[in-house]
Amino acid sequence: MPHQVVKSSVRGSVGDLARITAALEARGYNILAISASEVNHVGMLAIVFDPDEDVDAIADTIRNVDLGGGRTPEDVDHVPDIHILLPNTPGQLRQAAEALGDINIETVVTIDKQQGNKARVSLGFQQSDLAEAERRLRAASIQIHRHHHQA
Amino acid sequence: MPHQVVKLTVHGSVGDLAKITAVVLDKELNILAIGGGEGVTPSGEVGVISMIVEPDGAAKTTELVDALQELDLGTGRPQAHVEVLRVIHIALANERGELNRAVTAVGDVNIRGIVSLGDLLGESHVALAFSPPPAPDVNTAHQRLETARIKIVEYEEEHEQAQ
Repeated sequence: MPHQVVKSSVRGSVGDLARITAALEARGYNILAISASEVNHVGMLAIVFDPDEDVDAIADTIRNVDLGGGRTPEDVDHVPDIHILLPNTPGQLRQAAEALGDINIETVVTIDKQQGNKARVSLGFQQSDLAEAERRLRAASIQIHRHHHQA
Repeated sequence: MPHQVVKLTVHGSVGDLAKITAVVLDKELNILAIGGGEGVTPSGEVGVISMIVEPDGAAKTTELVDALQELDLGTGRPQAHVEVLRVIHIALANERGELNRAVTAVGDVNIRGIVSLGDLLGESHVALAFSPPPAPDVNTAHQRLETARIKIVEYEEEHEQAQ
């Protein structure tokens, strides 16, 4: 199974992220990388887990977090991702994004630095776009990282 | 000067990331870290990108923000809304629950963005973004993180590590 990014919206309040991460911690899920932003009091989260085989259970955990005031996280979903390796020079992400053309990038999350000072970046797609996205990235000579889970 | 997060909100469409990153390249800036996704707000579906670029001094950041605000995203769509947020760079033990410890310590200060910076020397580095001064958020968050013994990587220290 491809790796997954779990995404969610939160009709926001200060402290929601702490409640969500507490629930994930209580279940023993390990956050590999995270992106979060707030727009008009709506928080948007994209989280990469390692391991992520249990992604449906992870999504359920987030879905069921009590945020107070009758609120729970909304639009909880997971999408498969491709990890790409980009040299640490200007223009690399642009090259990858341009190669994808009319394919919608659902999420983008920087993960870490890999050997050769290359940045590993997760790009999330709808399942129906995944194979074509990988084909286009390879055709543009973007390096794909085959990620191995922690034991 | 501490790092800054440049945050863009667009009424999204396929291909926006390529247009945005082309502007960053045109300004000869390197994207150090990026995070983003799509979501639904009261004003419709939007895409949000938060990025840390280097160099990110005040003049370069202003230049980038101006260029992004002028970016033509395509017919009929409003221009990107661009904000600059102030970053506190924290280093967390690479263990479960460490991020929760940090965001819990921040308490009632609004964290307006989070961008993963990757692992270095066994620690997970994360940028927490807050409303810039004169809002008191950054200073309050800094104090609370220190009190909770969360390791804060100050800008000068960060550059020493990078060398």
